[in-house]
Amino acid sequence: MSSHIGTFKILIIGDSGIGKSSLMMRFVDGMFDPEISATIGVDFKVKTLNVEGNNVKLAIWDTAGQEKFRTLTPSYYRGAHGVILVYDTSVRQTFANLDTWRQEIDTYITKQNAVRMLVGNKIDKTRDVQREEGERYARTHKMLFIESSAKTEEGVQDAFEELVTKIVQTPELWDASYQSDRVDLNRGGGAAGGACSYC
Amino acid sequence: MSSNTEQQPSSDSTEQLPTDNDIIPQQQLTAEQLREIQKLLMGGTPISSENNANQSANLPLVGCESVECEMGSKNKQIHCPRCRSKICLADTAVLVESEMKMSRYKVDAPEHEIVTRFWLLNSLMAFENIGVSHLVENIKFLSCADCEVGPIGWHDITDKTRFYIAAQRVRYLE
Repeated sequence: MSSHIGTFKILIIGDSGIGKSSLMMRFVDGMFDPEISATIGVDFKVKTLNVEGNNVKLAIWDTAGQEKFRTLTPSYYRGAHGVILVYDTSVRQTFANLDTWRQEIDTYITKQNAVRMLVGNKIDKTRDVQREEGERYARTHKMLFIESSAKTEEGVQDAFEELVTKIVQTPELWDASYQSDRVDLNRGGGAAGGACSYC
Repeated sequence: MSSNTEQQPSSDSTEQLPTDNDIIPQQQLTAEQLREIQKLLMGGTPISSENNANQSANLPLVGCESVECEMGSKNKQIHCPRCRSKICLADTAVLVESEMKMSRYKVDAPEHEIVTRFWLLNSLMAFENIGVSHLVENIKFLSCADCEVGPIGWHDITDKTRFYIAAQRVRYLE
């Protein structure tokens, strides 16, 4: 039986329409009737995985629909171990907006050494932001970097792989963070307890 | 870790630029472990016999009719009806009677049906893998985390300790 080393809270953040939701999705080809799942959009997932013999649970939050308020609620960021900041490589404005999102992350994140990852999504479309620009931005702001296309699934797996690996390699991030076993789904509300690392 | 935002890493500093090894983390995990992470995170290829991510590809899974489903009984290990992703371990839920109008989860099912028998879990983190939908009035519907088939369950956000999985919509490890 594997031991449970912790629960990692991971946020997916960025402008509307850049494919954040599709980053956390994976349709099983040929088995799936999109009409059925389209009736409910999934914005939160629990995933269990095994890393070096230890079970890790991921609580993955997709901010879809929340970003229209431009600023997410602080409780959203509370306790996050990893943040995936996404822009659309075919829309320069979403790259220009990264500063705003990054400042918001830095303002509200409670674990200052949370792993940040920059993801340039939609590389299957006509490019408006060069890869080098994304790399430079990530380097300057100490983020992991990857480009992806959720449509072709290119890079999407790598993004999660890298992020989780980095978190696992940063034990001070999660060492004492697994006491709580509660998730507050009503994230707009103020019911989140201070000790809860994923609400 | 302090939440003092003044101590955040200076994002404009040019003195302490990370090296390539910081940007691209050294892969200390084995390739097999990374594959496992990849499969679990992204849903992978659950039907493939190569799938050892949740080791469920070759497990003998049965429908609700083949397992003991008496009110108050504990569950066998529960899997997605389509991609076999592991939803929750055995003995994490209790069978209860409730009533929820749920839309269909497969093509050949009626558009809506009243579902009455559910496995009740008391925490979202009691699940191994689960997807949670946007809010529909007070209800969030549950789906498979890997292939997103659903709804296979529901949660009323006014009661944060009750998560329901429709007994007839999932499969069980014999």
